[in-house]
Formats: sequence, C-alpha cells, structure tokens
Amino acid sequence: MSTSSSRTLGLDRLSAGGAAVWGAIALLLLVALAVEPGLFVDQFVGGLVYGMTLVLIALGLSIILGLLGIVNFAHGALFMLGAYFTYQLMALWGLPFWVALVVAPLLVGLVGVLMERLVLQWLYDEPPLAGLLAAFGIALMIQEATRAIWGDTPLSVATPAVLAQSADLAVTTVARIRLFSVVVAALVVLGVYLLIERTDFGLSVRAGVQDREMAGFLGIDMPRRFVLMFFLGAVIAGIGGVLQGTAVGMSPTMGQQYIIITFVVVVVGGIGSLFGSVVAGLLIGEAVFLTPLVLRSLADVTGVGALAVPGIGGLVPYLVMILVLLVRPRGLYGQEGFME
Amino acid sequence: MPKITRRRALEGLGAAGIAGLAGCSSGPGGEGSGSGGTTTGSTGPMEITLGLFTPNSGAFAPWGPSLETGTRLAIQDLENELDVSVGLEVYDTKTDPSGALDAMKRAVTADGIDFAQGGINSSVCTKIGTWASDNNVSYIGQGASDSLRGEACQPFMYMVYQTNHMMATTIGREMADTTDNWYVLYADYVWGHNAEQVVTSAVEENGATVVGKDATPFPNDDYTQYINNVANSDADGVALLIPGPDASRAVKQMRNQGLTDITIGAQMLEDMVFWGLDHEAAAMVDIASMGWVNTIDGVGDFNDRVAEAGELDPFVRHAKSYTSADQHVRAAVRAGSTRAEDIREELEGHEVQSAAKDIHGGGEMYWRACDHELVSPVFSATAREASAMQDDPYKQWFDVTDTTPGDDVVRSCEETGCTL
Amino acid sequence: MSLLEVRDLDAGYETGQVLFGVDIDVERDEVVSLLGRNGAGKTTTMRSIVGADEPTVRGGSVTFDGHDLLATKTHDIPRLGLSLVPEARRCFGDLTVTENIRLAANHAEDPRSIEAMFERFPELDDMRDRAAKNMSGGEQQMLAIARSLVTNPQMILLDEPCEGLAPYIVRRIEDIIQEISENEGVTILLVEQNVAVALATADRHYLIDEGHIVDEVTTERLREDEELRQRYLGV
Repeated sequence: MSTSSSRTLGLDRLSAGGAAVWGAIALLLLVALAVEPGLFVDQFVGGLVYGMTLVLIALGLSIILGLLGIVNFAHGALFMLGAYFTYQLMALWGLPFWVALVVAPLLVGLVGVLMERLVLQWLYDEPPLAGLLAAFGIALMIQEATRAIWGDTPLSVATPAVLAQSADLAVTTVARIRLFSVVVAALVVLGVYLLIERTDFGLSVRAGVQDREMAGFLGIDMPRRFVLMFFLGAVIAGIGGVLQGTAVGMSPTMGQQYIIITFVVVVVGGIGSLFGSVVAGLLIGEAVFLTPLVLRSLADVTGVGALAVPGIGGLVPYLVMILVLLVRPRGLYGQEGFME
Repeated sequence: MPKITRRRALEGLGAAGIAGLAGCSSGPGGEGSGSGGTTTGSTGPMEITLGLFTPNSGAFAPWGPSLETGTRLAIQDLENELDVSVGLEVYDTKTDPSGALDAMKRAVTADGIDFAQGGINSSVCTKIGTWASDNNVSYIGQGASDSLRGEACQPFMYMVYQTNHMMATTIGREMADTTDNWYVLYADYVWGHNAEQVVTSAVEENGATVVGKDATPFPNDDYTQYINNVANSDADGVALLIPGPDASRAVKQMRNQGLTDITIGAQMLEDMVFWGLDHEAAAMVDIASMGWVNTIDGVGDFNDRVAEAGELDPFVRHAKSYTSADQHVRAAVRAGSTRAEDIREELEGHEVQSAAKDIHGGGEMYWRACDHELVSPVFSATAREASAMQDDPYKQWFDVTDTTPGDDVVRSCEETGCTL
Repeated sequence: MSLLEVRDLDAGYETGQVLFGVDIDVERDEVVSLLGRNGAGKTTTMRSIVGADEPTVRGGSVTFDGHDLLATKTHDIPRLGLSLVPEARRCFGDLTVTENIRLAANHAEDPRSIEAMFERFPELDDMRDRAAKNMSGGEQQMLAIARSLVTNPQMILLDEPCEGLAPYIVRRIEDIIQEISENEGVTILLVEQNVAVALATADRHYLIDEGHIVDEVTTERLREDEELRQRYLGV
C-alpha cells in the first residue's frame, strides 16, 4: 500500500515537459477566472457533474478491460439498456424512479452475465481483437433489439419531483438530478475502491488480474470471479444509464455516442487503472466545460477574436487525449497493473 | 472450408452485379429512355412505379415509417380520383449517402421505377437527386438545406420542404417581436451555421439583439455548459438552431437546471422529436418555425388517417410525403408521361390545387421554376400548456400562431445561386 | 497406497506429445526428486498433475490421497492438501508480501496462521508491506514457499525452487526443504536441474528423458554413478 500511494499521486513521474503543460493550463484557468468569475464557477461545477457521468460509464469499462482484457464495446449498449429499462419500469409500468434505480441496473447486470457466459468467456485467451469484435457484434444486437422493442424515437421519463428542480449551490445552480448523479457516481467509485482494495474478494480479483493461472493454482475460482466482475461492470453501466436516461432521455444511439468518449477516458486514464479512469473522467469533464470559456477569455484579453474557436467543445476530449498521450504514452496511470 | 467458397461466390456475384449496373445505366446526357419514360399506352389506367427512399436505419431511422405512410395515403387518394395505378417500391437510404445512392441505382436500373422521392437529410438528397437527374429520373426530396436549391440544384430534382432560410427568417422575425436580447445556440454543421447567419440578421434587422452565441457539437446530449453560458448572459431569450432530438434534450436540460423563465425559440421544429418528452418540458417552447403541424386549420381527416395507418402520430413528414406523391403523380398524369422532361414541364410554375394544399391550410403553394422549390407557407407555432396537450387519438402539442406566406421569406431566385 | 500416484501418464501440447507413460509414486513423508535435462518433461509433469489448461493429458491417471486429480478442477486441488510452487515462483508482483500469503490462506481448507509464516520465515517479516515485485529472487522464492505452506498442505510440488539463485540462498532453500519435510511432515516432489540440490534434500530420484521415466534411483546410486548422471543429466 505504502509503495503504491506515492505512485498514485503520480508526482514521481511528473516530467519537466508535463510540469510546463500543467503550469500553462493553470495560468489559462486563472485568466478565465479573472475575466468571468461567475461563469467560471458555473462551468467548473458543470464540468465536475459531466465528468462524474463519464466516470460512471468508464468505470465498468475499465474493470472489464483491466480484469478480463476484453475491450467491451458492448458496454455502451449496456449503458443504453439501463436507460431503456428505466423507461420500461417508469413510463410503461408506472413504477417510481427509486425502484428503477435499483431494479434496472440489476437487470442490466443479468444481461452482462448472459453476455459473458454465452460469448465472451470463450474468448479470454484469444487475441484481443476477437473479444472486441464479439462485443461489437453484441452491441449491435442489443441496439437493434432496443429499436425493435422500444422504437427509434428518442424517449424520456419524467424526472422525479424531488430531483426535477434545480439546486441552489450559492455560487451556481445545478439540476438536482445532475447533483444526485454525482453523489451516486461518487458512492459507486468509493464502493468499487473498497471492494477491490479492502476485501478478500478484491484481493483475489487483483491477484487474478496479474496471473490468472497462478490464482487458480492457489485455489481461487477465477471464472466465477469473472462472472461477478462482469456483473458488477454491467450494473455500474446500468446505474449510469438510469441516471443519464432520467436526466437527458434515451435513444438507441446513446450507447454508441458514449462508448467512444468513454474509451477516450479509459485511454487517457491509462488502460487497466480504475483510479486513472476516475481522474481522466473528471479531467475531460472539466476540459470540455472550461476550454471554450478559457479560449473566449483569452480572446477578450488579447483582442484576438480568432482564439474563441466556435464549437471547440466537441473536440476537447480528443485534444486532451492527444496532449496526455504525448506526455505519457500509457495514459495518466497506465501500467500493467490493475488498481495502482 | 465452406465459408470461403461462399464468400468467393458472393464476391463473384457482387462483381457481376457491378458489371451489370455499368452496362445498364445510361450515362449523363444519354438521351432518353434507358430509365424512366413510361408514356401512356392505349387502354387501361396509367401505370406508375414510384420509388420511395426512406431512412429505415441510421440516425434518421425514427422518421422512416412516416414517409411510407404519407406516400401510401396519397396513392390511395390518387387512385380513387384519377385513372392511375401506382406501385410503390421502398428503399432504405441507410446511414450514409453512398448507401442511398446504391439503392437509387438499383431502383432505376433493376427495378425500373418511373420516378423517385424521399430522402430526409440533405447529403442523401444531394447524392441521389444528382444521380437521378443525371439519368433523367424525376426526383422530389425533403431536404431543407439551402444548397439543394442553390449550388447543388438539378434540372430534375425538386424539394417539397420549406428551406432552412425560409424557416430561419420566420423564426428570426418572431424572435425579434417577442423579446429583445437573444442568445443563439446553433448546431455545429452546415445547416446550423446557415440558420445562425439568417436568424442573426433577421433578429437584428427587426430591432432586437443577439447578445451571445455558441456552436454546439452535433449530435450532443449534454447542453449544460451552453445553458450556463445562456444563464450568465443578459439574454431573455434563447434560440435553438439545433435539429431533431437534440433540441428536445436541450429544452429538458434547461428545465432541469431551473432556466424556466427564459423565452425559447426553436428553428424548424418537428414536434415528433418532443413526443418522447414529458409535457412540462415540451411546454417550455414559446415560439417555433415549423414546416407543418397537425393543428393547421383545414387539415381535415388527414390526421385520423395517419393515426390509423402509421406507427407515428401525424407530423410534418407525413404531410410532405403526401405532397410529394400527390404532386409527382398528378404531374405525370397531366403530362401523360413519366419522362423527367415532361414532368419538369408540368411542375415548373405549377400552383398546387389538390388536397396537398388543403392539408397545408390552403395558403398559396407553387413550384418555383428557378430553383425547383415548392414555395409554401411557413408556420409559427407555440407549445400548448402541459394540461392542454392532447395525446389521444394522436398527439397535438403545438398550436399555430401565425402563417407566413412562402414568398415573404423565400430567397429571391438571384440569391439562390441556382441556374436552372 | 502412495500419497501421489502417477500412472502411465501421456500428455502434450498442440505441438506434440511430451510425456509418454510416466509413472511416479510418492509415499507420505518422502522427498522425491524428478531430474532431467531442459525440455525432458519435468514441468509438464508437474502441470499435468495439477490439471493446468496446458498441457492436455491424453491418457493415464493421477491420484492424490485417493482423489482422482484428472477429474478435479485445478482450483479445487489445493483444498485436497496438494500445493504447487511453480517454476519462476510467480508471486503476485503488485501485491504485498502479506497479501500474497493471505490470499493463499483465504482459499485453503484449514490454513495455518499468517503470523506463523512470518515466524517461520523471519526474512519476510521485515518486508510485510513490500510489493513482491520489489523483492529479490531468493526472497520471492521464500514467499512462494510460504504462500504454499500457509495452506497447510500434505504435499508440495516444488518446481525448480533454486533456479537462478545465488549459492548461499540455494543452501537456505535446501534447509527449508529439509525442515518442512522433517519437522512439519510435508511430502515433497521436487523438480530440479541442479543435481546437488536433489542430492542434498531428496530420498529418491526419478530420472526423466524425452518424456520417459528412464530410471528410479536412490541418492547413493545417483551420487556414485557418474555415468548415469552424464547420460541423463549432462553433469
């Protein structure tokens, strides 16, 4: 533990180039804060909220990637299913949001288990491409099944009354459903951390990640743990789906839309590192929200209007990825380990 | 290894198919009858095969069924009224224009359709419309982009939807009439950029101000940061120049974030995308420009027929598909021919008198010769109070507040850049 | 009946058969070695006994304490009292010393206490919280043995425990092998290339060559018969 915590901070790996980059970023943020303090706070909180949504989706992906070595392209489809199960439970069966919040993720978990038992378990020892393609195929099947069952038209559910209004945080107002999502996401991150780092189950999982066969020689039933972890990853995706579906609505393409940016998060965080996914999710969330503001402030200060590139927001995650990979080709916390 | 032999066989088939296509299709300028070109024979009803191009997969798939429903209703009416028999072939435009183009080639060369219609997004319309025109096949599309009536216009291509420019001008004027300070959120691609320019100048010409604007990624589903920008500006109105479901997401998020006092204007709104929302969120839309809405006076039993026949409640795409088929077939009957040249002669300058005019509220509609736009009225609408929204037997959530004659907002022929 | 009985074992990989009719018997409380050149089939034998995914066993039987091991899942074997310390030690590098040992204890039928392991291996006591990857080869080997011993096994399969270790550590490992055999009643099947280690620790020796057990000899015979050693072991 003591040896890994210093690495967790990443300080010992901060190169001079990295320091320069972070310094420049800090300076730019200060400029933006000085020019538009009110909006800066709004966007900072907004970025945090958005980042936590990304974390929630990336976490399950990262668990499955780190543990099983499967690039689970179907993770976005599981996320989408969480949203559609919410629709089924709330809009069609009239159940309250709180029931959906518990039941929908469990159902998604079951779908995840089916996926693992029927298809992916046979591909653990195959080249990664096989798993990726199989998962991609499953994603398409789930997406088309969703179309067939719930239709193509985007849907939404009524946000529960308690969460429907905005929350006044003194410095800014945030949609309560978003704030609630942040709390849930934080609890999930904490829960996963405790499970992996502090329980005997987590210990056996961490061992299995490093040397699956040796874990078997020691009497650990790894296949069963894989199913459980797949279940867990799918449940977390499902939770993300419930929250996102309630806040924004659901459409058959939402999984596809999110899987790409989620991969960006996982790559930036460092493949296999749960902690990295959390940091990267927040980093990208903030970057997406603050970059346009920073550029606009910079344009104001310098008088160079061209700096305020319109529509830069959508590009930011990829710019962050390029920047991070240039400084650290393995991502922020990427190593062969799992939970560093 | 049976797999490999099968794949080989398929490859062979594919190659043969391509060779076949190359052999059959007449090249650009090839005179006449290779494709299309039925002329009335001696006896019996005129027989027409109509090819409908509709998105049954991809991002626009939700719209797909409505095109077919609208077309079938028109065919029913036409066959009752006229001595004509219309066969319908339906093609999926897939997710990308090249898939749509393949379907168009197949429709013309293998299936022998007489003329074509459908297509929602402009890139698909441009691709299949250009090919159809090059091969002397008449085509009526539903794209809204201005380039389809401008640099991309074609001698045998027509557009039945009001243009982006017409809608944006209408909403821009409405916005300036409603309140003074506007924040503009526009989708970051050609359609959104065009709309932003037109709306901004319409707002400013009419004495109001655009206090800020943001290009938003498309598609996108988190609008929080843009809503923050709006909330931190002096705007008392926000214009959503964002197509499809994204607009409804943005509205819902404004509501969640407590931005409920602000006036919301929406460009080229298709109410169908709001039907997935709860009533309260949809009710936040104050003003919108629409190509058609099912609360127009004079729409008659069209709504009921759509509701009975289709999977979707009546909205703009039903009306536009109906109009396409109605106008296309009538032109062919008048000409006694389905040849593209003959239909062009009939359509150019033609004023709509049929049921298609009634369901559009009875305002003037005519086919402009210079750019092949069906110049039609643009509707301004507002969302009903949540409690007044009708859900059965079909949804009626928006009411018409104003109708702008098409001629008031359409670009002049010179401005279009089309040289027909 | 012997504690471990390997009968007529055929096993191999996709590339070809490696073991041909291998017979091995280990009696309770014995230390037996399996000696042979590189590639003779020693590790393949060990992996076949515990039912690793590879090699594939094509014939024969493996019985431990009356249980048919070929019908037992790999991860159930430790609970029968048979523990493998594999070639190259394979400690979990990112886990600490304590975690490595606790992990094994967690999945044993009747484990010894972790503290007892630290008393047993004082070297490890000083580095309880160190990640295994930051330990020396000798320390890792002790950890691997401790990890096995904590499961309170009847028998340990020790695959090349002294490979790549400095001579003074080799002697320490030899001592440990003798201690756990004599004082703690653990039966041992030892695979070695280093004949000296086998001579120092084992009672009986199987010689394996090209997948066949070619001889079974006593320690005295092995020590004296230079020609035998030369022929099968190249020393």
